[in-house]
Amino acid sequence: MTKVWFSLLLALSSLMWGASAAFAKETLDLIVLETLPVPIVADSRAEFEKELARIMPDHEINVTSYNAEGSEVRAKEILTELAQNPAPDLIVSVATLATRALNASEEFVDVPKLFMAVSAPVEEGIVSAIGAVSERNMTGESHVLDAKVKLDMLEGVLRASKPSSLFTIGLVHSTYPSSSNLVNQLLALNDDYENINLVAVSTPYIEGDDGLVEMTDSIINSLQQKTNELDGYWLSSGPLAESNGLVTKVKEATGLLPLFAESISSVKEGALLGVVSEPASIGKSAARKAKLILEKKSARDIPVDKMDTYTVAVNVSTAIKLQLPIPSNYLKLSKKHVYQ
Amino acid sequence: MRIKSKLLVIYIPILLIGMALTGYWAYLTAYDSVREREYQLLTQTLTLNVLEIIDERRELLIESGLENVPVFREAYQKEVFEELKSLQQATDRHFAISDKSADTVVFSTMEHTVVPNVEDATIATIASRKVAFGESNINDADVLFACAEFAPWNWKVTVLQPADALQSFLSTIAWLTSLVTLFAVVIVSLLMGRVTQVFVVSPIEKIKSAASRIAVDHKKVSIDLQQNDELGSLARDVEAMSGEIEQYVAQAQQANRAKTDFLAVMSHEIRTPLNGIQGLATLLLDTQLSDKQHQYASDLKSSASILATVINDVLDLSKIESGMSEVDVTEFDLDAMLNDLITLLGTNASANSTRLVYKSKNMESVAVTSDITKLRQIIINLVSNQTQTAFTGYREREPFGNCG
Repeated sequence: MTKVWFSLLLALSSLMWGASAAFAKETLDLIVLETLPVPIVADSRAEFEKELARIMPDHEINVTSYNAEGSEVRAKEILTELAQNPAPDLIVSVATLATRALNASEEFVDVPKLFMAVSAPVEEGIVSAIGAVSERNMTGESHVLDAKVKLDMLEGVLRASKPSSLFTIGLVHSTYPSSSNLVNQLLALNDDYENINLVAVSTPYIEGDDGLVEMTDSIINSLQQKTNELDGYWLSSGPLAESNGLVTKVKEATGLLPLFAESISSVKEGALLGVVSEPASIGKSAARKAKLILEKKSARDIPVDKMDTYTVAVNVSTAIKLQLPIPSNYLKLSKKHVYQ
Repeated sequence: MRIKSKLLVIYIPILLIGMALTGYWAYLTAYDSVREREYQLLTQTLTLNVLEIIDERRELLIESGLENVPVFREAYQKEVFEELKSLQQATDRHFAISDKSADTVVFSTMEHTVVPNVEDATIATIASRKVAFGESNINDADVLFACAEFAPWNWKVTVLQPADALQSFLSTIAWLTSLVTLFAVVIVSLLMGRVTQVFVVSPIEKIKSAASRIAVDHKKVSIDLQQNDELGSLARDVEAMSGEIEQYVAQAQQANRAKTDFLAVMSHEIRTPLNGIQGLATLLLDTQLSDKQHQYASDLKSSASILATVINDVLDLSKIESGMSEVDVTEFDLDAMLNDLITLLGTNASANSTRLVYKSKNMESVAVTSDITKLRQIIINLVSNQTQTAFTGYREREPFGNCG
């Protein structure tokens, strides 16, 4: 009788152990390497983590974040340190410099890698063309709209109100890779637009918060020198665009207003028109790709694309000041991003 | 005129009138439908396209707080004009916008400003908008129009469409209707002709043919007609009637033959004692008789002779009727036969104070092929009739005409 009871107890214990093992969440280790703590980077990363947890509820996802503080060198140091630890299931890089360091890293060739908030993956050498796959086990999406589309949109606004006028627009940017890449693309296309004359207004990229202040002062100086030539300016992507109060400072110093911007915040501050990928869209889209990789699809097989969701934002106060009415189709696209 | 032709002559005009009326009704229905559809399209273009284009921009301006910003309002009105130009190219309809308060045209896709007469226009509410539409004559050209107000901008919006396309379309409908009507008349006529031929004319012709055969042959006929209608019934009746006719004819012929046989027998039976009477009368006349007795005997013989002639005639008639009369055709000399007859008949003629003379020309050795007995009898009868009555003067008869 004792033997019978013992056997039953053993069987029950085995069953409970099996059930608990079956219901236990699989643990996944992720490393997120950010380039610098600017809003677009931080918000995209936060949205990524939130979305990944939502779409992979059966997994315990451990995310460890690192910040390269705007330095590619620092990013490489972080990666070298991480190489001493067990390999994670996925490494996610946010923004260009961290992605550049990760792509170049030899320690993590076999670890799947995902990037987000990188404007020019082709120019960064990650893939040979948009739609191609990476040979270094990395995939991701470019978050910026094609330069030609942006120019078309701006031309649409300008031509609708003043079809015969020539607008000289300063391309405000730093030498930060994504920023200068975009400016180069725009300049290459300039000849196709009769009533737009693009002029590069540049400042060297300087790392860190102090560097951001220096870059802001430098660009204001450059714009002051060209105030008479310019009808407005184009605020390119990159750390400079994330500088607090840049638009206001430029306006105060030069009276110039941005005609195009790469961030919603710049449009809020006074940019006439902006077409951007919102951090929420960047994070969610990256999370969907991360899910595929974590479900054992190779990053080598996932092509690098451009995002398919963009947000149009307009500032009607700027439009009124410049007497440049925004066409109704852009205003309609802006929906909740019409700013006064 | 044959019955089929008569029927077609009656049917075709009736069909033509019927089809023409139907075609005209169809044309009127199509005309109304097409006009209604055109007005529907025109008013829908106005309300669902043009006014929506305008309203959409105004709503956008309101949502963005820009309705009272002149630069935006003017720009969006300009957008409306540009869209209407594109719409004009896509639809071939013209658009005009006038300012109600200033009574000025602010936009038009036409070179010349036109104002349709809206006094006789129909008013309707379409898509919650009050729309006036109708037809007007502008610069000697008919146009369809629809117009409505856009109160927020104090605009009167008009959509115009040349009526040429509509009239051309209606002409096409008229032609098609006429063509189809004529085609239908021809087809229906052919079908009716065929149906009439099969179900009416052909059976009637069969019955007529059967009736003709009955009239000629008096025989029972069979009519190849399997219809179960009035004509089929008539055919069956004709068949039954022909059977009865055949039966009655057979009975009549049988009765006639019986009569003839009776007469023939009776004539033969009468002639035997009559020959006896004639012979005895002849013998009596050869005896010694007083004049009165001789006269009685002579009368007796004459009466017997007349009776014998009557009986022979009856016998001949009965023979002819019973088909027993036979013709014995031989070749003989007509001139010689006539000379013999003159000799024979001359005696009786002399008794009536008549002289019988026979003259012929080129009749010598003319051979005639006929029944000599019957020919002789015919001549005897003719001549006897001529000589029975007292006659004075001269009568010349050429019984054979100018036979040469």
